[in-house]
Amino acid sequence: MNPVQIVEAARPEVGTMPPIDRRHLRERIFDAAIREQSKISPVDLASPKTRASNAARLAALTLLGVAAVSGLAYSASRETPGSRATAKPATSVAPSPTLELTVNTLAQAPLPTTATTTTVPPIPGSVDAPLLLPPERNRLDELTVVRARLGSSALLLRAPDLSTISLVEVDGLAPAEQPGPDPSASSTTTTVPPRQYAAVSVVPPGEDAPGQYNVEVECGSVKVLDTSGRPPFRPEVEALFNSIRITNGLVNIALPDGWAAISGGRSVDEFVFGLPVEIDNQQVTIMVAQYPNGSLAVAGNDQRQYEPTTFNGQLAWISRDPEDPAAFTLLTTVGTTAIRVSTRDISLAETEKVLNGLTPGDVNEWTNRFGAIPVTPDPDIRSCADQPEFNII
Amino acid sequence: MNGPAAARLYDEHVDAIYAYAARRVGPQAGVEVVENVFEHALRQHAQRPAHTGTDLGWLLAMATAFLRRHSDTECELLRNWQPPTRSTSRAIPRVTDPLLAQTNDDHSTATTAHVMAAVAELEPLERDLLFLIAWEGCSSSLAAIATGVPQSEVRPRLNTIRKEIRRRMSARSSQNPDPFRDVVTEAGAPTDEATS
Repeated sequence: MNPVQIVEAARPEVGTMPPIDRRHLRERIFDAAIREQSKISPVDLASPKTRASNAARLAALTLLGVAAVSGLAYSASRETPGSRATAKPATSVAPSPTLELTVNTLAQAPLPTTATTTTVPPIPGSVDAPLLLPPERNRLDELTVVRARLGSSALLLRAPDLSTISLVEVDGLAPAEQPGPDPSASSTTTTVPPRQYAAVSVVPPGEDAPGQYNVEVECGSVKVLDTSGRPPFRPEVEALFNSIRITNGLVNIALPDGWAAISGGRSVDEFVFGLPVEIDNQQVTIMVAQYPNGSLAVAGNDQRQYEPTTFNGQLAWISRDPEDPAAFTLLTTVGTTAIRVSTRDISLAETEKVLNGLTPGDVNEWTNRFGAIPVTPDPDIRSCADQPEFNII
Repeated sequence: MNGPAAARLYDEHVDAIYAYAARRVGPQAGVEVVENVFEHALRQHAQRPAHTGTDLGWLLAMATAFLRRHSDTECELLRNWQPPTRSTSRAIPRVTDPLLAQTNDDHSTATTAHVMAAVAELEPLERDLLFLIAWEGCSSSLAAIATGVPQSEVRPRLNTIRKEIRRRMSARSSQNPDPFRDVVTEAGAPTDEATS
């Protein structure tokens, strides 16, 4: 092997750029590009002032002057509509890859206009600007987009004991036929049979998913999410099951007395970022999940217990972790966008400030700054007609 | 360049520029070079030299220029070259005699280390050319754009670089003749033409 081949064989394998650096730099580039668009580049006056260059400048100015005077005289004497001389674009030089590749260009002044211009700031949560984006080029701790689930919707209910219960339905296949018991097979696992209610059968929570009930339906699935740790089939949950009737996939819920529907809505795209902020010299990360044109039910489709609170002067819902009182999850809306904020070691007032400091933007701006959103990964597997859908009576 | 165009330029070429920079100066400085390159590209897009041809050539030219700021780091890495550790499952464990394998590996590693040390002593432009071709697989035209060397001179200069590495290794071998004797005595062998 000759030395070049040895060098070639020693080529280091490097992975891709660390995602956080890659993303952060992309944001900065995009931001800089936007700034570049909104200003006229200053003319560089820092070229060397040598005698030769001064002479060249003088000659060029003389030529320009002569050309301008000639042009004016020619225009005054003869008008030729439609025939305009086009200036050649500024030439570029600098053949070597040095860092001082600055070449002057003549900045084109904008044409004067008498038209009135108005700038309307985007309204947060509006149809045109449904998302909130970090205003500065922060290093985001997390950045994900989860596409809407096909034919899925959620409900957030409040029971008379003030506990919250979430429901979610997802379209899908018809349940597989349950094979009969195999007498030759011996198994120690026991399957808990579904419980029968007024009009539905409910599969009890499994050991790996406490508090999660499955209502049996013809197609897809319907889940009822109660807080894990509560007694299974507590009276409120049983009252809910007794209020459910399913007709051709429509899950009719006649809410019993004392129950309330906090929110309900279809699954929409989820945009999440983790924003690091400094509060009292302490670094805090605020996770912001946004659901444009979404509902609180979709934003809070989990097993947390939510209580009403006031956020930015409007009703919101908050869940505090009993084992970690400094942490909380908040459900709120900004315009037509539902938002879930999860953080810790920060007050609600400070959280309001942070959220109000975010910049309204749309999905295009998100895409330009953070990259393309993923294509929907789930193919349409709906094979039966009676797909579930909630209906509050 | 507007925002989407800048983002597109970045998405298309960031991996290539990072790989080139990180291979030469390590991951940390590599990220810094990438930042410098794209920030500079954005500012200078309107004044982009005509001879830089493709976007990649233009970006490689800037990366090569910015890598000069990290010459000390690069030379230190080359002088203290270590064989890459292969921890992935793609590395098949050797089953030959361990003692023999160890000897072969040691010899090969020592040879490479001495070649790399000689590369560290090359002129910066020569290193640029060498790594663009040997590590990045650039064509003569792309290497010419990235370095400013006329395309017709790329191959002759690569030949000169090879001889220069040998000369430096030969000078070293007279002081410490053992580890890279094979490479030095190979000088002028016909196999040189394979990469010339």
